[in-house]
Amino acid sequence: MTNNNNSETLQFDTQHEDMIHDAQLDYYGKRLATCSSDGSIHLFEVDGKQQKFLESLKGHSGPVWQVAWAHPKFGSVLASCSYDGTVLIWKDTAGSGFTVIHKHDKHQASVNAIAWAPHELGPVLLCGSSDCRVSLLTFTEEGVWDVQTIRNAHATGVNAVSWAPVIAAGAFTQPGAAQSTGLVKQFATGGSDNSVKIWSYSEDKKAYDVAQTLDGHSDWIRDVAFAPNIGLPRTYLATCSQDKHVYIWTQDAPSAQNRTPEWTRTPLSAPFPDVVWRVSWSMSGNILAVSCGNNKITLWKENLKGEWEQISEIDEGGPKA
Amino acid sequence: MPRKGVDRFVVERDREAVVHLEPGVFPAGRQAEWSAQNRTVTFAGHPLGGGVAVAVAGKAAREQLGREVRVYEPDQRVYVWRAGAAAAAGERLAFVGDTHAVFAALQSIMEAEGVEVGIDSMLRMSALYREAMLRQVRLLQGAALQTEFVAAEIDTFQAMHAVWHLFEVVYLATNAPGLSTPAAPCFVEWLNFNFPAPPAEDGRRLLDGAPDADALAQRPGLWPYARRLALRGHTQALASVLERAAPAARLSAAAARWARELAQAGRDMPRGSGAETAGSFNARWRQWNAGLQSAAAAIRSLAVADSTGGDAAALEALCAIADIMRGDADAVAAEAETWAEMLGAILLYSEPTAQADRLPGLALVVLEQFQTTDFTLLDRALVALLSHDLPEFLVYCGQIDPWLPAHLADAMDHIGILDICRRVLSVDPRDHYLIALGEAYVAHEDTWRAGLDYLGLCRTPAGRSVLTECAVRIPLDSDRKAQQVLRACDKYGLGEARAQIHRQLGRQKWRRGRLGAAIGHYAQAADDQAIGAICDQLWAEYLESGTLAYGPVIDGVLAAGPHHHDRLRFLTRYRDFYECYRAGDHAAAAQILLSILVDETAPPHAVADLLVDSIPLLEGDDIVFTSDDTLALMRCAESLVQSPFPTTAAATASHGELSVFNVACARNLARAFATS
Repeated sequence: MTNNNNSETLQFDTQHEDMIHDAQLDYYGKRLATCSSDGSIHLFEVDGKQQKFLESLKGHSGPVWQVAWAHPKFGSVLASCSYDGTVLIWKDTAGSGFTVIHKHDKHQASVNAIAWAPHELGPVLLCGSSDCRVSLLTFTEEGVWDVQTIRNAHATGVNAVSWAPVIAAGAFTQPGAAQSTGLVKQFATGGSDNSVKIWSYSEDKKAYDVAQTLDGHSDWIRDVAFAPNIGLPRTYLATCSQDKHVYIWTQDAPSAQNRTPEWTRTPLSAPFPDVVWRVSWSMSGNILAVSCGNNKITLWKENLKGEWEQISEIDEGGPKA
Repeated sequence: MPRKGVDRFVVERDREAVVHLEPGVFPAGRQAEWSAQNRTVTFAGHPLGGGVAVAVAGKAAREQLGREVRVYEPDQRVYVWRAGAAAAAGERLAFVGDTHAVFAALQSIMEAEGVEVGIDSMLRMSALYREAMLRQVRLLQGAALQTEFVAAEIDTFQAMHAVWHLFEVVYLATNAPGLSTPAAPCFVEWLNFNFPAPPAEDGRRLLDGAPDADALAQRPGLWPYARRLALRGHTQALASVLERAAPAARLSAAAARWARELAQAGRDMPRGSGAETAGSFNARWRQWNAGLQSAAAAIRSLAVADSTGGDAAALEALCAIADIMRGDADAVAAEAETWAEMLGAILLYSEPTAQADRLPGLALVVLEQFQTTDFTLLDRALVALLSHDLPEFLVYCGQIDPWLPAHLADAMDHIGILDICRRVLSVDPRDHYLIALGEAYVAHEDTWRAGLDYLGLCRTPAGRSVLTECAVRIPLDSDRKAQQVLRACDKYGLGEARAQIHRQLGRQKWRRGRLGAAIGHYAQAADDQAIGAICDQLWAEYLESGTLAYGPVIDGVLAAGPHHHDRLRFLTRYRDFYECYRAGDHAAAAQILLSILVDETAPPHAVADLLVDSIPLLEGDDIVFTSDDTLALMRCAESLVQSPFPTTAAATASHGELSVFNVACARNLARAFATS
């Protein structure tokens, strides 16, 4: 790799037999899970300058779209979702490695996206499928996996899911607010109906309801991502789409005057040159990475004036200009 | 002549904006082809720092495309790229350590002195920061391998020093409340230190190669060099050069006389001192300036009269020198190559008593003569600083290096000028930059402790939030490192993070079979559930093997400190029972066993096994259970059998064993009654 800032790069072959669809680092950034069209998941230990292949997990009968590491308080747990319509929960146990501890097969079409809830909400996995449904898989105190399904979440399929931070925006700046308001139970979904939906938990119904539908994209939503809450007075949601746009949606913290503030849409930049496939926030929520169909990843940061500016770009090889 | 900005340091942001992977994710130039072949890139952010894992990714599965897709070798490749490594790269470790120590000391002083740090303290700290930057430059310049990266780092550190030094000049040395220090000497010192000119080697070459005045006067570089000396305020060096050249035979008597006059003027240039009043200094200055005005006029007359003579070049240069020294704006502008040079000369020769508050106005006048579109990032940062446009200044500094705005914003906060920025910026600038720097440091194995400090010394909730997230993600590679992370948590009061780390350590130890250590960590996290699970594992191992081997584990846990956990108490009491029984002290063993059962120290799943343990004591030769004791045992058995929540453990005691227990109780009861 060439760059002028002495960054560290480790590169290695994943030994998959077909295209990769996702790669995820665990909570500490020490293990990498990759998944592929060959139906397998490969696990690697990555440590700065070296990597070690750990094992290959085979359990799906179709391409594996995404993998997601659970919070380590639940043990060494990995979830995977596949074109075969199933979600598998894998757990690492001493001596036997990763084994499937649960198979979720209630979807009737490809499961395209999965996301673990913030650990404060317990071991809850959110799944979005081409069968237009969203399901919530919860490991209950009784030791069983409970499934809640939201039918017709998006008319023509769900492509992306993301959990909101459990601490409400503005809670850090209002003493005691975090405790008094309780944990936020909210997630976003993006679908092939070009819309983004925000779902909130209703204590009355004991289920998630649509709180808001965010319209603005003109083609399939490809990814949605809530930014972690680092104490800012508003909530940030990034969405990207087949329409080549990335929008940053912000919502001010609720106040006595306005309990449900409107979401404000800000384009990240001019339209991207191609379909935007993925958006992802850094752990502290201040850097947004965007993967575009032109095969470039750009990193964006909100500057001191509240404007979004590109801070870096990762692209194909070639010596630096 | 087109004018340029300070171009000695090219710290252009574009140089850092693009990261190329080589060999690339795709073969160079075949991006469109790959994109058409169902490929894109996927990535995952690294939890610490700005790194990512990048891989070629399929947009859709073959099954969805309904056609064959070409397979490329790079389909399998993953890049794990760590951004911001430069901020904490090996070459910078000493710098990071030094400046972190200064930063920490500054915060301590602030706590001791109150909200604002005294200017004297701040000046001392500023000098330490600058010394660290200069040391880093020297270190890099002495590096055995001079790579492109090292060259870029040298540029960056020199730029950082120039910015910090000017900040010190403007806000600490000359602009502090109660100080009335003229800006000119400090500014010219800053200019000559950070952008030295004319180069010292030019002077050496000029003077060393000329053994006498004639040889010196013949040198074509003499007069340009002398003009540059005048422009930069090197009046003593100028005087020496002029005095050495004056005796040259090729100079006319008049030219030689004016060379000596200007040399003397250079030596006599008034310098202010703390002991002199402003009025006295101004009077001396006016007299000196008037002398130069006269000299300039006289030399100009001579030059006009002798425009084609052998003295023309010398007279022209002497005239220019006199004009520069008398503060003629046109002469200064003609000679100055950069805006900073021009501003320095104007301050020195036209505004010698101007204070820092005049700098924005003077800078504006100077900048009108330069094409600011050509300015480098460093120029823009310096100009913003001189214009007191602090928000803009910080933004430019952030583009030079993340270290710079973090420490500058902190310094600005300590001297009470950061509120200007807070009024116009959407986030707190000090914490904004400290978080960015802290995150970069935390991601590096050698600087993570400094990173936690930078995050911990933020004052907004955002800093604390990031600190917590980072602390719990630092890989706990060794016990020593784990203790260091825990100490950092204690230092910053991160109770929840501390508990989370203890839980993580507990899991680590448990997996490795170090159950005592695991219990210790879970106890620190107040995770009673996990402690119970480990104790249950120890109990299960005992039941399976029939050998009580958990004694050392329990002893180790208790030796580390008192632990109040039901399961631990049960295991401890049971061990006591076991040892008494083995030692033949059946009476003591019986009383311990009874107390375990009656006090409900035992978990429900162990009750049946304990009842079975009592059978040999009930059936022994000696009566060790009284009638009351026996009735108590029978009540325990009754509770077990009649419980509406039958435990799996209750089921482990077979019907036969319980029958034997019942019979043993009945016999013992009879014997006990008979004896009593």
